Parts: sequence; C-alpha cells; structure tokens
Amino acid sequence: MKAASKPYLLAAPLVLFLTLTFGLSLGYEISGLTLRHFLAVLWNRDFVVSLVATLSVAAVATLVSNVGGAALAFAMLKARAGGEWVRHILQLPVIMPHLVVTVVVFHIFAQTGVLARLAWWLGFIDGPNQFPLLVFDHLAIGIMLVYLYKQIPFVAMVCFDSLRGISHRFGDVGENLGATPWQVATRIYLPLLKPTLMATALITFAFAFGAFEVPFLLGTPLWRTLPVEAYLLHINIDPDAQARSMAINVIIAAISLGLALVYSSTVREVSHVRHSDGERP
Amino acid sequence: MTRRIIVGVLIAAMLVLTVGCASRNELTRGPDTFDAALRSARGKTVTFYGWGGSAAVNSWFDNVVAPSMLSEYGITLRRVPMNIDEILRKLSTERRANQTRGDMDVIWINGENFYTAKTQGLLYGPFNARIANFARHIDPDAPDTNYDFGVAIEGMSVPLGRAQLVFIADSARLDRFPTSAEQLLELARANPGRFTYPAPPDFTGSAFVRNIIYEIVGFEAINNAPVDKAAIKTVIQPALDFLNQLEPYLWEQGRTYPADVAALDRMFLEGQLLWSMSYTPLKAGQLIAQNRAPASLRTFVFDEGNIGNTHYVAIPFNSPNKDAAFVLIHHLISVAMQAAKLDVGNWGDLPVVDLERLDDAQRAVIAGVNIGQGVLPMSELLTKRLPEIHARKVAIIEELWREEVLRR
Repeated sequence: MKAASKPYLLAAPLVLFLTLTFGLSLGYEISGLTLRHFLAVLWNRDFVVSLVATLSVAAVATLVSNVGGAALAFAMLKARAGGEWVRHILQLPVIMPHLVVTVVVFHIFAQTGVLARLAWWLGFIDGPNQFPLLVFDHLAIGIMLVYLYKQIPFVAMVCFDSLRGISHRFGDVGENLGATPWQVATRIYLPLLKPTLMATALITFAFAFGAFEVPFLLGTPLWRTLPVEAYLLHINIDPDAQARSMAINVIIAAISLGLALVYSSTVREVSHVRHSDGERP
Repeated sequence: MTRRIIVGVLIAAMLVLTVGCASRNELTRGPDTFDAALRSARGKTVTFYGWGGSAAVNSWFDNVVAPSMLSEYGITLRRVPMNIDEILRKLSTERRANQTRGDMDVIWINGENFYTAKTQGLLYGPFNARIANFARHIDPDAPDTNYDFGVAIEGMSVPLGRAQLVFIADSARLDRFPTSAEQLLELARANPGRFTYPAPPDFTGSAFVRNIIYEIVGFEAINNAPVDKAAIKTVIQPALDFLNQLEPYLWEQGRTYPADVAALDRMFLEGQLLWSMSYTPLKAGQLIAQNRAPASLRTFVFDEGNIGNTHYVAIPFNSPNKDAAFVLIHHLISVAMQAAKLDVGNWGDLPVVDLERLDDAQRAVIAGVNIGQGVLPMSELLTKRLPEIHARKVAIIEELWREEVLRR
C-alpha cells in the first residue's frame, strides 16, 4: 500500500501548484471562471513575439550545446583525454550556479567590461560605445553565452560517459572493415549515442525554455522571454494582469509537459531498437 | 480503492487551501480620538508592512523609528518586508475570506496600488483627521494631501514622504545641463550615444517619459484626457514624436534602452553616459557620500518642473491594533522623524510637513539636516514640482511607448 501511494504523494505538490495556477488563470477569485484571460494572452502581440523568441533561444542553445558537447566528447575519446583533471575542468561550469555565470558574463562582455577595457587599452576602440553590444542585445548573445558555458560541458560529460560505456570493439570492427574515422563516429557511435543525446537535448531545452534569471538580467527590453513576461505581469497591480500571468505559466507548463511526453515515447522506441541491436554481436 | 481515497483527500485539501478558513469575528473598531488611541495602544505591538528593498529605508525604520516608538509610546514596532502587490493580494484574499483579524496594522502605499486598495475596500477609514500630527503639520490644501496620483484620498491615507524625478550629471564632464526637452535634444545631438533613459515599465523611465509629455503637451492636456488608449495617444502624439526625434542620438542609436534605472546608473558612473536620473531627489548626495561618484556631481531639473509623487501610509481594514497604528502614523510625521528621514545618511527622503506650520525651533531642526552635496535645495524642488497623473493612464502610456517608440 505504501508503494502504491508513493507516486501520488510525490506528485501532490506539482498537482497542487498546477491546480492553483490553472484556477487563477481561469480568473477564479477575480472575475468568475472564464477563458478570456487565455484569449487575451493568445491575441496579444507581445505574447506571440515572446513565444517565438523563447522557443528560438531555447532551440539555438540546445542545438549548439548538444552538437558542441557531443563533438567535445568524441574528441576526448579520440585523444584519450578522459582523465581526472579534464573531468574537473568540465565539472566546474556544471556546478556553477546560473546566476554566478550571468554576473561573470556581464562583467566580461558588457560595454564597460573586461573585454571592452582590453580593446580600449590595445587601442581598438576609443570608448565604451564603440564596443559591440553583447549583453542586453536583441540577438540574445549574452543569454546564449551563459547557456553554452553551462551546457556544452554538461552534454560533453554525459556523452563521454555514455561513449565509454559502449564497447570499443564496435569501432575496431568498423575500422577493420575499412570505415573512415568519420564513418565510425557517425555510423556507429552516433546512433548508439542517440538516447543520451535525446535526454541531454530535452534537459537543455527545458532549462533554456523555462529559465527566468538569465533572460531577466541579460535580456533586451525589445522582446522578453515567456517567464520574464509572466513575471512582469505578475508584479503588475491590475488583477487581470495577474490572471494573464498565470495563463502564461499554464502555457509554459503545457509546452514543457508536451516535450516530456514526446521525449518519453521517443526514448522508449530508441532504447528498444538499441537493445535488440545490441544482442546480435 | 486506496488510490481513490488518496486522490479524494488531496482534492479536499486543495479546496480547503484555496477557499481558506473564514472567521466570523467582528472587525476591530478604530479609536474615536487620538487621545484614546494613545492610552489604549501602550504596551502593544504594531506591525508595519512595506517594500523592504532598500537598506537605507529599512535602517531608518529599524534604528530610528522603532527605538523612539518604544521609548516615547511604549509600542513595539515590527517591520515585515513585503512588496505592495503581495500585500494587496493578501489583503484581498482576507477580505474575500471574511478574515476580520489580519496581521498588518500599517502599510506603505501610493499610486495605482492605493487606487486598487481603496476601490476594493481594503483600507480602514477615513481616519487621517484623527491623527494629531496630521492636523498640526500637514497642509490640508496641498494637492498631495488630497490626491494621490490623481485619485481622491478622502481621509484614507496619510502622506509619509515626497519623491521627485531629478537628473544627475557630473559638472566636470558636462558644462551645460539640459533644463528643457529642447535643450536635451540639442545636447544629445552634440554628444551622440551619451544620453538615454531606462525603458518603461521601469518606474524611473516611465516617470521620465511622462515628464517629457508634460514638457511637450503640458500637464493639463494629459491630466484632462480620458482614460482611453486612443484618446491618450492623440493627446501625447507630439511627445511620442519628440522621443522618436531624440532616439537616433541616444545610446545604441535608441535601438534598445537600459532595462532599468540601475543599469542607467552603472553606465553613468562608469563614464559611458553623460547623465543619469533618479526618483530619489537626494541621490547625488548619497552617491558622493558613499564615494561612488566625485563631488563634482550635480542635480538639476527642467525649468518647467519635474514630476514628483508622494508616498503614504494607510491602515488595512482588518488591522488588529488600529490604536497602535494611529500612534505609529502620528510618530512617522513628527518633526523629529521627518528630519531624520531627510538626512542623507539615513534615507534622504523629502519631508511632508508644511514648514509654514512649524515653529522656529522645528524649522531649525529641518533646516539643520545634512542633505548632502550636489543636490538641489528643498525649496527649489518644491517650486519645480509637477503632480502625477491618474494611475490608470500610466500603464496606457507605457504601452504606447512600447508600440510607438521602442518598436517603431
């Protein structure tokens, strides 16, 4: 009986939170149950801009960090550089809090930051305004730098462990049969790495999609990510804005949940394929 | 079966949490006279809820107000830092749940929040005429005694302090200060990329945009405009045009703006910008005193005046110690506390007491306060002070700025 109730107890805080959020987004306590707050959000230009921007930032961060991380893992495997000290170097960005990385990125890349001062000292620029805007910029370069610094080492570490767990005999057999190193990597190891990459891609995407502090501190006022938009509506005193903020939260939760479902079904398929393949050699 | 029971219990728990517990007690009655409040409040604890984001403000409450409350009136002051939006949400939940004994005795409030609190019935009152120091020290005809951001006060709050938008520049780096919108445009043109302002809805940036509206179309025009987006747009169009005319000479050619006033300050202090602005009129004195800026820093306002607002204290409808709340508010607007609040070493917030109503000794106390270097004298700030417009228009103007200036 204990075992049967455990998942429900574990899920209770989430369910409670979602119920309250959903209730508020429907206007409960403010104006009676209504869907008009959702419609107001969906019809708003700011929301559409926000949604597209948030999805793009998350997609680019995911793509670059997973390609970069996997490439780094392959390079480490090839160079046999998986030693203690390499892992420590990779662990550092992973354990650093996002907030700390955000502050560091700001101090390095701001127009009055370390790089700008260096450029001025070397005579490349005459003043801060000539240094390109790398934080608070509308291309989200500053935000991206934080995500990539945190995520590339994370993906690399996970992929490296996974690659090491795959028997090197597959690669040896391939090479024996005349495969180039590129073919060994893309035809043998990459398919075996797919479930791992699916997992890291989901984690990195979900984080970049739902993160608040990084875009809040380094973002441009031209567009805002959904969590920042939800926060600004939340601190707005208008009771309707409150409901719209909760509606955005529900939309963020729904998108994340949808991704998790897609992920779990794909992973089941992929790992199934992998297991049946794995028995042959 | 077990599953169903657990799910049932969870749903029940959620309903209980959502609805909250209702109590059927009567609301505490407020004291009929100030003397009655003084007598019954002794020995009680009064709870103050307000924004706790400024170390200077917190320290004034904890180290100046609280000890003197205890020694002079025998009342313990408890300060709970909480943002006003949360305070109001808590109060309106308590109102719906019919919770007649709340936790807050005095709240710190103004503007749009006061409008919301007053219209939703979250405040006790009218009460301000019963506060002894209100009758003694406050000018009953001053605009901010009667209107808070264009909302009629009707006895529901008492002014605590005054803020005003000021501009700050370094006289060592800028020899002529822009004292009108036209001069600002001229100066920005001569120094491209060295001026900008925080993007609304930042509080200070939003005030700056309104100040430009006052400059270009006048306070009366926007104050008389109805609370309607299309109507406001027509009225402020010349001001929006001016901001767009200014834009190419701003930082990053106005393609983007600093997200908040903290970012503006940093860029100014690091020499990237030639000016900064603040809704704390003695900000320059604070920066100099903290050694964050040179003593050549100067404060200035437009010749036609700068926007100012007043912040207030009010009593929630379900305050459990309304008598102690009376005494705290009385004490907050005493000459001693108002003078201590003005001191740049404490908070640096302008007093609300009317100097004409004070005797010579009291006036000397206020005049003797150290307001710091590089700031404007109180008399100049008060003569160049323009009122705020109705709180609901502020949000509409912020929206119009986003659409017509930022995204144009």
